[in-house]
Amino acid sequence: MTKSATREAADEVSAPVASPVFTGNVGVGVTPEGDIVADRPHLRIGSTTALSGSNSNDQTYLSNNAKQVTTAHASGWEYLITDYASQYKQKEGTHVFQVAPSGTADAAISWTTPLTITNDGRGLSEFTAKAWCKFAANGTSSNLTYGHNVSSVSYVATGHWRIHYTNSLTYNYSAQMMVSDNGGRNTTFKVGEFEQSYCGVFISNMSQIGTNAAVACFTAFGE
Amino acid sequence: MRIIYQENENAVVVQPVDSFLDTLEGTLEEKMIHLANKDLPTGTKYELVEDSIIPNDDFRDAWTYTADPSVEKTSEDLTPEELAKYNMTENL
Repeated sequence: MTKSATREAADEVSAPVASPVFTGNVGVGVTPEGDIVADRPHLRIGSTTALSGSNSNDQTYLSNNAKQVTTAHASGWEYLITDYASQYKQKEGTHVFQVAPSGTADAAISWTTPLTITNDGRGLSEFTAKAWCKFAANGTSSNLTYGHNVSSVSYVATGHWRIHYTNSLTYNYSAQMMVSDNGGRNTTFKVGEFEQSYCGVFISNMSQIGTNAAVACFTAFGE
Repeated sequence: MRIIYQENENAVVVQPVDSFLDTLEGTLEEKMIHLANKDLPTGTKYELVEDSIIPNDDFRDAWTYTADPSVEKTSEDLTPEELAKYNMTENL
């Protein structure tokens, strides 16, 4: 005697089912790539989304267009398709936001970290938000229109800028700041090189790069 | 308007932030003098110049500051009230 198809389905629903454990990767709408490293199981969703973690470390990743192919935290990632990549990582109580330029499928990703939020709530900008600040150098064509906690900016010499604050709070984080003048020359320097290493934002009004572009330069920020 | 002064071997250009100047009272020159007192080391000789005086960025490190005694000013101390306002407690 055979059970009807309806009864068979009911038996499956009512039977106790152990929570499924997947020892490999899981794909939703996609077959997970075969070269994902075993110690970093991925939940792959669609063409470019991955939620992954570590079997051996305190790391959680939400990635766009990235797969981890070795256990190296920084260099172990490759592009899924030819496009930009980005990632949000939680690691040891911190929030880390990473981005990468467009690359080809299966090529290695080189991450940069625009923002890290530390466990004590500070935000550290390592400055991938490019600051097109041609402020003091060319007097008539640029202007600092708005500053939060900034009174002035000094152009001391090539690659040497100084920011003056309106409230000398004692923030001094090891953030970096990148300034690019209108010639596209980038200068990266640590906040500590400023005489006052506090926090502030300013906006430059620059005719060189278009119509009154508003630009913010962050040094570091916190509570 | 800009502040220019000599610092070691560098001719420094100080550009004010408009929104900060808006918080001050007085003429533009008076505001710039206050800015110089705040942001330049006390006793620094400087000049207030129009924006058009500043050359373009070519040969930036070759810029020189040539003093004009007829217009040159000297930065002064802020008042205790102003130091407190800016939280510059190390100078109080």
